[in-house]
Amino acid sequence: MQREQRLKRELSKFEKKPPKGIWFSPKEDKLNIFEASLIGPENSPYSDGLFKLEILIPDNYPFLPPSIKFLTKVYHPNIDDNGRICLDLIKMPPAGNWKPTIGIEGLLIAIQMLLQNPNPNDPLMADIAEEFVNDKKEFERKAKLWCDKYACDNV
Amino acid sequence: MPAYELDLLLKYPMIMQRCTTKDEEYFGYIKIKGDHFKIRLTRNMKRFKLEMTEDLEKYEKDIKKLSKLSFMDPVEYLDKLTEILSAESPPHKETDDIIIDNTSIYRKVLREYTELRQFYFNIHKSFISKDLKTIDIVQLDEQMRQHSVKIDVNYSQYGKLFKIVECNLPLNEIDEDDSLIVLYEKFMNRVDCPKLQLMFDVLDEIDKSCWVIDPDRPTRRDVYRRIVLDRNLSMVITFNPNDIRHLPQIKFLGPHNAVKKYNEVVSRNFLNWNPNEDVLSELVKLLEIDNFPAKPEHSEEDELLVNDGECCICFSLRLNEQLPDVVCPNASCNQFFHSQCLYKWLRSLNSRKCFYEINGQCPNCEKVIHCSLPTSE
Repeated sequence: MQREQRLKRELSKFEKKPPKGIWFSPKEDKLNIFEASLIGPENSPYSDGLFKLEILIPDNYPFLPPSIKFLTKVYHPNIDDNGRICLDLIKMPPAGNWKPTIGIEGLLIAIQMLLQNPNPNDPLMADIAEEFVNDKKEFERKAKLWCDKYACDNV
Repeated sequence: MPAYELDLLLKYPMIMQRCTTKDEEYFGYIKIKGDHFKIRLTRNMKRFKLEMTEDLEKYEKDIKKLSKLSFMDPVEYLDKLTEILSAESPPHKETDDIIIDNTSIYRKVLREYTELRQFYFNIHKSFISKDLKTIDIVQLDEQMRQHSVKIDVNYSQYGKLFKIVECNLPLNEIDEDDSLIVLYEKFMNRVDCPKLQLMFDVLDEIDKSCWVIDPDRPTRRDVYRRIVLDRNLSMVITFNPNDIRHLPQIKFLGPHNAVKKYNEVVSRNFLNWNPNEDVLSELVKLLEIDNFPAKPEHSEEDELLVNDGECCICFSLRLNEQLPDVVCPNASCNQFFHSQCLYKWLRSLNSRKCFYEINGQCPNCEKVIHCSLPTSE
């Protein structure tokens, strides 16, 4: 019962004042699948990209965190080949840090920040994390290459 | 009168002797290379004990050694102490020279500032801080647009005297010069640069005729606009300040299939972009739309995700006609919750139940919070 009221509120707030470079909306007017997009943060190898994501809202939301994955391929230590994201905020405590006061908007902002500041200490892609630490130039080159290839389908 | 007393008076005139029933005390100041040290010395036969103060802390080791030695009289002790303090004391800064230098800089800064005001009598607003370290100037351009610049004064003797640290232009190049007027002229030349003026014209036009949702209050520095195209669909358009007439970078944010459609429209039309035409009408042609939706009339207050008094779990005031009934006891948090919501959250964390209460962490501030079992559960 909290779920519906809350999602409507989150959507109306978002529509009036969206955060920079972030968009989300329910897919096909059902409130269990959302689609989202975010523009890569400035001063990062992802800055030219537009990344698509899918958000599944559990029945028990906001008591359980939503699951979020990237639909666009991303070269990043904390994002795997299937678009799964390693972020403590989308895991339930005690392993994670989800709290019902975080909304969808907050999570997307956190993901945007994760793109800007990868966390090589808790990697999902060990080899990318190693590259990020030891050869940042090469990491940035590849991340940019993937971004140009997969996340820039407009002109 | 013991022999040392005259010596004490001559050598350490700021030290006084005080006799109590128990022991002798010497207190006052000694001056070493311009620094004053507060002294409080207690005598017990041939041993002297110095009370430690903040100034003396760094000499503590040596002073401790002194307390183990025996001295004939306080003058002998103070001589030894002076030796320690003057050896360790860092060479005293010759403050006088620096003060003279700074005054001349202050004079120059004030002179430059007055000259600037006289030379540019049409400056809209200007302000120099009391410490003469920063100068803020607001100027109007021909279109009556305001442009502000913040200039720092550099007192370090290295580098130029004046430096632009902040200005609301898109290309924030750092500029510095020894003359305020020359520096200000550089800034004005950038403001009046035809490319930038053209960009301001275009952006003003967009702000006037489109529904811009980001930035919230655009400044002259922002070169991007997020414009509403349709319900739930917007586009982020980023201009190149050096070349506003050419096709700007466009990204659509919205349902993935709508974005796909618009990307197709753009890739069909972008070759027809005419850099000699009005940017806004070229955008309309590019997107194959009739016009941009206008901003809705009623300007609502900024909506927050959670308003005061609303439950910060379900983000609403009424839940099954109930109002929030738990408040976080942490005074700097003070968030409201419905007991139903808070209970459900704490239970999902396996928090500790104790009779009719459940205890856990406030989801907002993480401090301890209690919640009684809701009646409806």
